[in-house]
Amino acid sequence: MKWIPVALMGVAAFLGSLLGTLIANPLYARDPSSGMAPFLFNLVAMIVYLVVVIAILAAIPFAFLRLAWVGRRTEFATSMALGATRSELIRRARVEGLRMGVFASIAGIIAGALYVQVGPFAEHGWEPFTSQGLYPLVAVAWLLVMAIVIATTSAIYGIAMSSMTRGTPVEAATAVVADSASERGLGRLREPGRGIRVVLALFAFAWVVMLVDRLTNIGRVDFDNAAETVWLSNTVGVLAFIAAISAPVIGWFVLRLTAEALTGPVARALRYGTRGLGARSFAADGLMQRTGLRTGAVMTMAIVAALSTATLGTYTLGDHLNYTAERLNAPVAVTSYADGFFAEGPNPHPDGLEQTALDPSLLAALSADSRIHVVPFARLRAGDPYEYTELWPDGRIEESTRQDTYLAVDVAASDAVVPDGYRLLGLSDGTFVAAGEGNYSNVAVNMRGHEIVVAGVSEPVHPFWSSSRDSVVSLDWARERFGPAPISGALIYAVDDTVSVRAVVSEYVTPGQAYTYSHNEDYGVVMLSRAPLGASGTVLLAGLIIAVALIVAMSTASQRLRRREYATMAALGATPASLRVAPAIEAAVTASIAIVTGVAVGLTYWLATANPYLMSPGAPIDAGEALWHLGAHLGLFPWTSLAIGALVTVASAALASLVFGASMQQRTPVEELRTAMKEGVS
Amino acid sequence: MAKKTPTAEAATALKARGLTKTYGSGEAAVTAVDHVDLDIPEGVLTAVMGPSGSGKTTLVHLLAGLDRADAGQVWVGEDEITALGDKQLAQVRGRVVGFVFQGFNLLQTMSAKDNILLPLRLNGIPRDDEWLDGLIDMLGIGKELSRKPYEMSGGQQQRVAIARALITRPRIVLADEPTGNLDTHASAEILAHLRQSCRELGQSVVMVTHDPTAASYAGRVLLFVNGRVDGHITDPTPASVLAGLDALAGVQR
Repeated sequence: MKWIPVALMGVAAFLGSLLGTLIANPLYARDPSSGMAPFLFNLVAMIVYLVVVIAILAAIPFAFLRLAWVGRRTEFATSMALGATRSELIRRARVEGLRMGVFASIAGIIAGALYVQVGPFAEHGWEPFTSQGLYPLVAVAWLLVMAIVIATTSAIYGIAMSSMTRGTPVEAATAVVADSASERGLGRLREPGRGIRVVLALFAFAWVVMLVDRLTNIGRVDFDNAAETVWLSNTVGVLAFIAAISAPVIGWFVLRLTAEALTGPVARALRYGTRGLGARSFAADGLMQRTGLRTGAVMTMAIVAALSTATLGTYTLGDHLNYTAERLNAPVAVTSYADGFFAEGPNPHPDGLEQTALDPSLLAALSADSRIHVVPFARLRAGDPYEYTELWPDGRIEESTRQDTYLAVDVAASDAVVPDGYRLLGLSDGTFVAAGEGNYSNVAVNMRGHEIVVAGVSEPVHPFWSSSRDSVVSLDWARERFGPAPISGALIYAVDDTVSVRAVVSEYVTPGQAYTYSHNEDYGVVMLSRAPLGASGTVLLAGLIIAVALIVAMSTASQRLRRREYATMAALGATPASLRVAPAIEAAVTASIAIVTGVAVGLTYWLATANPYLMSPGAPIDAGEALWHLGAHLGLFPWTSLAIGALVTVASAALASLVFGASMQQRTPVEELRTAMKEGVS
Repeated sequence: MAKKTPTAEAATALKARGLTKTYGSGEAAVTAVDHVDLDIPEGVLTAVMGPSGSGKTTLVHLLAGLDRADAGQVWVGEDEITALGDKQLAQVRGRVVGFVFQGFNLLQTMSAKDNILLPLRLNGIPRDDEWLDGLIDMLGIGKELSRKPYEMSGGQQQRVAIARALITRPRIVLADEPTGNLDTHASAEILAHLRQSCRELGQSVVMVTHDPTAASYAGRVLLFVNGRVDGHITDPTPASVLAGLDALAGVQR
């Protein structure tokens, strides 16, 4: 087990190396945007994020290391009893961590660098060396990754040793210290010390600022007065970052208190109705024994469960939103106007809703065709025209004058294409689905504090970004705010894949009656590559592997620590069957508590952050929409995958404990006592 | 099922034949108990004495069914425990035999009182408050009942361990150095109680001890050396025990 922490840090180095190497792209790749400025920007971003991410993920190798060192507790205590100071032991552990960090980082970095060259990019084929002299600079990124991984590994070893040698040599050897340390830890939670109070205060302040920003949108950047507002935006951004990095600390305490609060009642419930001392009672006794080791392992498992749940939710929702947006991207649009979203053209129109109606008979005919879905819209033009320069992939530079163009869509009609599709993307009164430059619309979007200006009158709207290719507002809302307007176009969708929308439309549209647009498949389409397993599957699998490994390691360590206890009970008449089954029940209950706690926290975090109406600064405050999204997101969450993952984890925990427990029970109480003595178990 | 011994031997509480236990293998093999035959009569306090490393602790572990013999048989009363399955053996440990470990083996997470009551809970035996109070008074642990083992001295832990062994009123008590951590007065009190139990309740007690004075409370002393019974002393006195031990010194490997 002692190699698991090193392997995990190696994986961290591998990921860091991937990031570092990708800054300059693979050697054969051509990237016209490469240059020193983006390189440095990416490098700084990488360092900032990597430090935070590795610091959070370091909890996992730390937990494994403590579990691996359970059997060495007597060795440490004996060293102390023979004159070694605690600080000396910690220093030695740090040096060992340093060596392991060097080993892990070198292996991980080499693997990561090689993977970038031969991995997912290989499918693009080999091209001559095109990297623009940046590649040697990637060594800087590698060195930084190495430094971070080595420092973290060394710190993990030092902290683990520190936690295992607390107290006198006798206390360290007998693990009494583990119990009292755990009690001290709980005491800290109930009566926080200065350090925790500072973190709590910082966290509270940052969240208050974020809440104020949510309600008042103080952090928005006004493009016209950027100099005046950018400092505020940056300040809010920094505080948001503080809130984000202090969240895990708070999350740790929340998880721990919840897990502790659950353990007592569950143990009592487990014991309820048992006569004498059977497997359930033994398991309950085990659960009531609070040790630092168990707490650490449970907490780590809960963190893994929380991260897996939040990531699973995020990926699943992201996938679904992308799918929804793609489905709403109409292959064909029929319009009453010919000038698309260009301000200058053969048929210039004033600001506001388009007043030229699409031929009603054409609209009726199209709507009556069962092979297609028809979503009527009115075009909305707003804001001042602006010069637009576009760099095409083939090197052409195109300049034009454009004006913000929205599609005011009949949302009820779009529900036939994807039920509640636009609503899921965030669309409601006072918001718009933001797409920037799309197929049939074009909007220069202010990230926050966007306004639709028609004839000098501005209407604040909140943008919700998605992979939709058009900027969409609600038709009813647009008519209410900008006056009456006829239907000036229709988005046309196929009912199924066998239908050619273009062919169907051509049956109805006669020359001069309307204009037909279809989006160019070669333009503006971003195909997202997906892992064979799917992003959510990959996340779940990774979380599952870590959780199972943790629970197995914890169960084994827990049983080793209780070896003497079990042997004594066997000597006093406990049946072998009950002693075999008890650890399995204990492990299953422990895993369940960790999973329930982690899932609850992860789900809460995901639901809060994914809801467009909860924490998005500047979004309309609309409890109804917030609740609707809450329900929709809960409905989209892959409960089955989560349940399978949880069951596999709990079953693995029980099985591993059963196997280990059975191996223990094959031996006599005296043999077990002897082994316990050898391992320093009191 | 347990094999039954002839009725004529019913007065024997504990019997061993050809009992053997070896640790290690090859040249490193050490035979801790070497083809031992012995009979422990009912209602007698028996002391086992011998030099360190002579195999006394292994012997009592085997007699109590706590360890597996390589060869030989052990009978508790009429039941051959070396032929029992795990479940029946657990019942013997829980209801018939009481054991006092040299290292006490108290459960650190339980209070002294819970430790004492543990065998009753494990075996579903109803609690007898009068018996419990009597044990607590006799052992002088009334003030320690709510304390955890790590909050008690070695002597206090030893008294709790003795109370735990006696709480089920076992027919046979096996004790490994039961007075090793007690002062002379407390030792005398406990040994007197054990002897009284043997006489009045027909309980059989086998105790391993290094203390000739403690051994002198026994009705019989078995002298154990090199894994074998090398003789016994009936109605021992401290002086006769010392003499017996001196004689063993020349025999030990």
